[in-house]
Amino acid sequence: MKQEITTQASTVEEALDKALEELGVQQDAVEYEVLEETGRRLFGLGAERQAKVRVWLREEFIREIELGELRTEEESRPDDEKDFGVGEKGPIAKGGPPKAFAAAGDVVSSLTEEELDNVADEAVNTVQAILGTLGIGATIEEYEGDEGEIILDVVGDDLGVLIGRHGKTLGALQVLTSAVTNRRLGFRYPVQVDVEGYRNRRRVKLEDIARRAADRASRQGEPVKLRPMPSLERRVIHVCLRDDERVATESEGQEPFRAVVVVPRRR
Amino acid sequence: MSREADPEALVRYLVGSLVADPDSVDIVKRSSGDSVVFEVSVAPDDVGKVIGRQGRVIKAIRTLARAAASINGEHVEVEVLG
Repeated sequence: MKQEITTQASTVEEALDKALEELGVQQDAVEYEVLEETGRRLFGLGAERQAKVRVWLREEFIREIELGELRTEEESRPDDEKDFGVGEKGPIAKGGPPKAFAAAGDVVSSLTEEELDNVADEAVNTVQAILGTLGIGATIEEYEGDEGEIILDVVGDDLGVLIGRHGKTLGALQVLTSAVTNRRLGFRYPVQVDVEGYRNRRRVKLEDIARRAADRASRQGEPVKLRPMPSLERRVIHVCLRDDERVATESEGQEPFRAVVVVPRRR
Repeated sequence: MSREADPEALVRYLVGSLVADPDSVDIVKRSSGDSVVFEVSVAPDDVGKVIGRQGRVIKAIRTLARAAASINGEHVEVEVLG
């Protein structure tokens, strides 16, 4: 995962948006400076100058950054491994911090096994409390993600209402579980909420869509525009094709119709 | 698994868990016909915590509250009073 990025777009806001999407974080995770405002070049031929911003992750997000380093390794693995890589699940390791922590530097490895259990307990309690008010009885399975994050998978019958259209309700459940858990703990720790493995299934599907679009774009030599997707899903596409030399990806349009365009690179 | 959903308890739980001063949380329920509005007031210092950057938290609260209401075939809105 990159810690800093410089992006260009027709407005400062769009450039910032693009950077946040590339970095895969929300605006509260970054600081930025405007390198160039939009405007016309003084001596140019009327060509409009693009806005340019430099965006970097804040210190407080160092933990996520360090976990992110491991994610980059993950992505460079061959496709057949990658499909099941991130979603591969194992029970939270007992008897020592998980591998990801050991490699991720002081901040993270300072979380003892006990503290990690505490994080998981808080997160599970939060999800259970929310489910309780929804009148939903379900089982919550705890996993440890490849990057050390805690993954909670809500398992039960008729949980479609928790996923919502295009995963919108699940997204809200995720935001609130993180916010409440972090508030209780007094520090941030990555917690991901899933329902019946929806995110993982969706990710595998999105990566398939991404690769097909890249094949088509490079074969036809023309940009391929995907259907509109929420930012988390667009990120899956960007990340999946980041190392594909045949194509570049960008997003265009305004939410909620913002969509990824896969553009062939010139050879 | 088919107890009724309780949107008000959901909003109360979420808001109460996010603020630094839970005692100052007040939630007023206003209904007209099928639609219900929860008016949330919190301590001035806590308003930002309930709204979140770019409204991220309040949007998520609304989405979940609507999901809760939809289980009961109702419609709800959540407003934060500044």
